[in-house]
Amino acid sequence: MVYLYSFLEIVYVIVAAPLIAGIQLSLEERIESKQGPSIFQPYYDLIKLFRKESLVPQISSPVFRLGPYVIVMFYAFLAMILPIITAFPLPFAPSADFIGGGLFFGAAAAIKKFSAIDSRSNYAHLGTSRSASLAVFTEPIMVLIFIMLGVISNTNNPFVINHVLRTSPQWYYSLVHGFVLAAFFMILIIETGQLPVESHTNGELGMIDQAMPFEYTGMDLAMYKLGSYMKTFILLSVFLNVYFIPFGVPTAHSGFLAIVVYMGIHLLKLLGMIVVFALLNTTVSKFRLYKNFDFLAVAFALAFLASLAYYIIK
Amino acid sequence: MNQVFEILGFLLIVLTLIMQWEINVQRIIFLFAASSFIIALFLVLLGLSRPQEEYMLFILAGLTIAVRGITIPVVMNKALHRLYEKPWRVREDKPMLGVGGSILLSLVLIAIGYFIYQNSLYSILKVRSGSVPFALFLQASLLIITHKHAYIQMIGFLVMENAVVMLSGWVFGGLPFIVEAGVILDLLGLVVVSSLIIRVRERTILQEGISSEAELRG
Repeated sequence: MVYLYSFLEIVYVIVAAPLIAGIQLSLEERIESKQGPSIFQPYYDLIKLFRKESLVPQISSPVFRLGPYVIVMFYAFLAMILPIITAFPLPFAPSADFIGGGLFFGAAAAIKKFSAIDSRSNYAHLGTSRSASLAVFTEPIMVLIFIMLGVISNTNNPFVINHVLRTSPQWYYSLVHGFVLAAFFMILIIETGQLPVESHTNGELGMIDQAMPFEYTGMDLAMYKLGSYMKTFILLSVFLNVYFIPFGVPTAHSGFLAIVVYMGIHLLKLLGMIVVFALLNTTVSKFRLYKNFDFLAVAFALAFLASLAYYIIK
Repeated sequence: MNQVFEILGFLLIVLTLIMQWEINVQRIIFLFAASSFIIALFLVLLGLSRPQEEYMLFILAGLTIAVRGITIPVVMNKALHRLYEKPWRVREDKPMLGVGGSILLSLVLIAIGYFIYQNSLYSILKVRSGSVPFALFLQASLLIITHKHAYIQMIGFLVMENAVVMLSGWVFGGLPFIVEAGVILDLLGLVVVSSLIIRVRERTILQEGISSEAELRG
């Protein structure tokens, strides 16, 4: 049965990830009093791209072609080991803890950069350089956040962290958790490319994520886009299920029906986050590229204050 | 109750960090007003936890809101309006340190404040989060040092004063009411006089075009 849950989890992430992106796009347009695309637009785009022919730069190596497929594979693996629809570890979960999961996220990002560089496009190089400049600061902050949660729960296991926050109001309502939550939310904004650190713009002056797949077409681009949707979906799920709203996630005794019901609840949780992001994206103006580092400094400050608050409170 | 005090203390630290991040003078004044309201809330909660000083602390909280939360920000805002055509665009043009750097330095000072307190006063006072006002005090000093705009420097001084109020209320307690109230009212006079001096100084610089180097030469 647990293998069935793992399979269900992967299918759920792959199927629902584009829907969340579609809802966000549609919502942002509605807030701006426009009609906006259908919430299923990302599916239409993916279907269209899957049918199209892939063009590959003549001078690129196999890394360029393989990159998007490996990235999707990594995210599918992460979907199996993180608490997305269950609060108990599924068969593959013991293969990596939180730090291991972070390494997989980092590896996927590195492969993304390698394949972008391999396209030999100037735009892809520009995007890669900018992305690497931001990542070199976001990764340590992420690690600091995970360390603080490790300190709270005495483990690196996301399922245990979920259990500790769910069952200990003194930790859930603590300053440490509050600061970690705020820092993680700021990092989430960067990792998922929301405003004010938007990275999906087409403008040459600020584009990051939009520049990296510049040479991708057809099925390769479809896989690349699917990977991006999955990354956003998984990160939001981790933020919601482990840190922000750890309540209600089915436990080992809940049964199959509870997990299916929770998938609907989980989508509602994600919808709440999407509403917040849509409001941010329509009301906040974009930082200039070099100002992103100030934003990162504040995120680091919050993560640092979490560790200080722990020493003061303990 | 201690946890609530800690939350308020850290909230003040975060507000001061945001002051380091912010360059718009009016927004920094607004942030100071917000931090004063937090101090007032702190005094109210302190009053609730110390029934013997209850009324004194409530009056102090009221005075804090009236003077620090409303009057001082209004006086400073009016002074900005008199001095500049577009006061909402007045900003710190050339901070001594970039935003990222000053935030990181601020964090270092918070850590230093913690270690100094932990290794000195903690053994006497036994208040575990007494380092928060210390950190706030050091952060306010940094705000003064890293900014050249006179209004932001004045805000830095007022934040420093907020830290002292917090320290006296939280750690020492039982200070005579007349002293506490006197300090709060004293601030009002200080802000009015400082605003006047800044106004005269800025107007002289604006009208006569004196550069900062020339001003230093006398």
